[in-house]
Amino acid sequence: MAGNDRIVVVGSGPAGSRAAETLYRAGCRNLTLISEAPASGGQIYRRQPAGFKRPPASLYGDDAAKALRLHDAFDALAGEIDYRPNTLVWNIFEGAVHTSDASGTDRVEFDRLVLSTGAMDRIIPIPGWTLPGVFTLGGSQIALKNQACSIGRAVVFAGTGPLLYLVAYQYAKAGANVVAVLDSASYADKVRGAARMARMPRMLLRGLAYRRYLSRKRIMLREGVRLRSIEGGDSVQGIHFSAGGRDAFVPCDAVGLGFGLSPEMQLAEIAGCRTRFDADNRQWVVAHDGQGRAGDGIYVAGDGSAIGGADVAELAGERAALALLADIGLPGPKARLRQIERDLGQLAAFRKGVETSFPFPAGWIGEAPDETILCRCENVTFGEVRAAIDRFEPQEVNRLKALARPGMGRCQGRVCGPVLAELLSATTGKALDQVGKLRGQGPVKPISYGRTCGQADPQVDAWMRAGEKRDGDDQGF
Amino acid sequence: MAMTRVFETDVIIIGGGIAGVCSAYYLARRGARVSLFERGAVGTQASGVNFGGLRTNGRAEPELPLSLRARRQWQKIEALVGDSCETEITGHVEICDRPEHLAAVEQWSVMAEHHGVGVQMLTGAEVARRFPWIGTKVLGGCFVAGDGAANPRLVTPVFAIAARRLGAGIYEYDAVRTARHDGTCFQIETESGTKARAPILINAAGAWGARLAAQFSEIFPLDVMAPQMVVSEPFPRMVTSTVDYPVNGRFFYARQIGRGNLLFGRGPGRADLDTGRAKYVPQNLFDASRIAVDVLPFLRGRNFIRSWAGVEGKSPDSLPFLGRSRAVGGLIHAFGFSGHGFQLGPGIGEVVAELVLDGRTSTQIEGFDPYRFEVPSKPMQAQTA
Repeated sequence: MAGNDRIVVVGSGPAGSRAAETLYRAGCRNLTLISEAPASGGQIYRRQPAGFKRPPASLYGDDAAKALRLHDAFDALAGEIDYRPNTLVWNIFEGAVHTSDASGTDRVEFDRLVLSTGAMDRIIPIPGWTLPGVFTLGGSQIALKNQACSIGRAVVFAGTGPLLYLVAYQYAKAGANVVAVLDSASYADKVRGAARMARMPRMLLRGLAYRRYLSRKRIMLREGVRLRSIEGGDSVQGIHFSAGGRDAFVPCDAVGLGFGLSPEMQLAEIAGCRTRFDADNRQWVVAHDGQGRAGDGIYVAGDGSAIGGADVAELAGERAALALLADIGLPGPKARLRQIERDLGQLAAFRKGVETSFPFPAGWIGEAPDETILCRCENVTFGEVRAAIDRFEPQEVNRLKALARPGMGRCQGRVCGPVLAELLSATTGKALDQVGKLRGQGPVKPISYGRTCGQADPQVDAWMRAGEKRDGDDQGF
Repeated sequence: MAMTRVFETDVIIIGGGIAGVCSAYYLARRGARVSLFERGAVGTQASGVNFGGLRTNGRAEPELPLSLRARRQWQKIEALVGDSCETEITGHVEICDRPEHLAAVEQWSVMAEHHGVGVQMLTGAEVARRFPWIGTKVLGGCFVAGDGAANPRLVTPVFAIAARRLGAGIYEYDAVRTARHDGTCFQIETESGTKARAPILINAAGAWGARLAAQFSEIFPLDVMAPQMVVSEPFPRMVTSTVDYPVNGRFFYARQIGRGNLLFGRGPGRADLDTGRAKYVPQNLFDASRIAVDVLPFLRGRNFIRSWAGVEGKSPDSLPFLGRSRAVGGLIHAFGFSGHGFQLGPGIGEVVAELVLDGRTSTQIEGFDPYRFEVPSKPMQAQTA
């Protein structure tokens, strides 16, 4: 029976929550939802830990109602699906996802897999970006949402993207000392983008309201900024930038840095999904059929396949679930699918406006000083990478990684991989899509040996145990 | 390179793994005109993703002369190629916790001493004293101080640069489409349209060596294998020598690199000749973790961060096909190193150069006779680590 297909959903953000809800409502009962997070909601509608009692409006602002609806929809599935929070999916192999949690590692077989793995911050290394006190914008937001903490006593938010203003607004609203907001995008970029965003005036006005709020609080707002360096010895002491032809320095003890988001698509790649280059955003996305079908029995939705934001993720999660249902002989209502397509179409147009307003300043990467760290996990500098490019003339980034180590560390190149590609492209003059991308590999995040050893082959385990037992017997040797 | 004319050279090498690139280097050193063609980048398959072990310890007897010859090259490798290969002579210990294994290793050590390997048999207590980081109690061990490791991702590219400096043509991303012999010379044509002619052709096509040989109607029993590696996050240097340990018939081997990451191998992964890609098999990783937390107990609280596998050719007895073709004059086979060819690389290069330029080699390579499987073969033992 179709409703008995073993379905695994990875991720409990807007996309994963809606996908699971849609599948459950349609009668799927063999449903497992695995999430690295302790509770559903994703990054955007992240729930506070037990014992914290902030009201939804202070956590989610204008999106409180949306957040609560999503949480409620997810909570209604409690006890009905196999829900595994605090569990990392670190690999996919032969029809099963490999998981890791506090108790060990496991594998869960599936017939169909929905990947809604979300996004992470997109970073451009500038001198000093690895100093203690520098956080990503997303990380800054999590500190606030999760623990009600500010990343510092005097905070500068720098980079670009809608999150820049949202996080600054949330910090200021929560009473944190926001010293400055430094946006690499210019005023002219925003004027161009606004024309496209005008189709959804409510969202556009909300963005403008954040800026107004920050201005009213007399927080320094600069646009068209070129960040120069973050200064400090043991920790952040200030940030250098230039704007309007003038250099400036703002003292601070923490910096929230980010330039938009990157899809977390490693699992999709491991599952065999194809990727596609999105030239407008200069980033790779997961290729799918327009409904979320990305491979044989593999579906993708939300920011983990391409950056669209929370509203897109909810709709795409539902759409991927409907595609899956159609594939197992449980087609959903056509009218609903048409409505989703219409809504997604509008959001896509708005999204183009956002991208126009906050272009990714890719040109900075080629200009980074030699001594700046490119890969913080492996402590590889721009200069070392440039030397490897010069000496070995690699044609693509995986080769460059092999030769100079960037992207080989704990984060597996999730932070520096796109930077490495930009640098190789800028140095050689090859187009960005021609230098490729770092291949997604398992484990997508570090896994403890102590956990994986529980899944050893019984014969291997027996061999090792026999060796241990014999310890006392062979003193003669 | 887009050329329409046919260019003439002394030697054409097909395959840019360590065997092919070292052959190009040593031939060029002796003044031969060499052109090497590689489908991808040099050293990307088994040569680039292997364990990086420079091990004579435990090798099958037929391989020892070649392995020792290679060792003499590794000892001066950075002077030869003029660049760092992150070579380290750390020693290599094979540990034994089963009496039958210890007996076999003792027997091997006697044989190896005749070849001049430089072996030290250690008691269990000596192993414990010398390698305090080994967590299991062992009966004894076999230590070769002259063994070590190099960074496999660098070695072949560095050799390629050195070969180019000597005048060799190393053509990457240019797969050979056809290779034939016209009665006097070999003629190849590549995907880019390059045509080259030479009286000598070296088949260094690794896992694809049998496919290339088939173009000359020679059939070799070559299987494909995929050695699999796992690497930990870095931590302060602790593991001072490479350690080898057989579990349930297959070796577990580990070393810690200068950067601090611990690398261990246990396979096999899964390889695909058509895509040229290999996949690691999670079960090997679980098994290796199980072994690791006993043998290297400090790993229990640490993380592994990457795992990978590479495509490699394997012969029935795990010894290579190395020698002249019987079917076509001027064709030399050098492939099928079966998961332990990395250390042999410079030795292969010297031997191939001798076969080409002197017509004979001073190193015993009888055990690698490409045609040894045509007659009922003597059983030979070789370990796959």
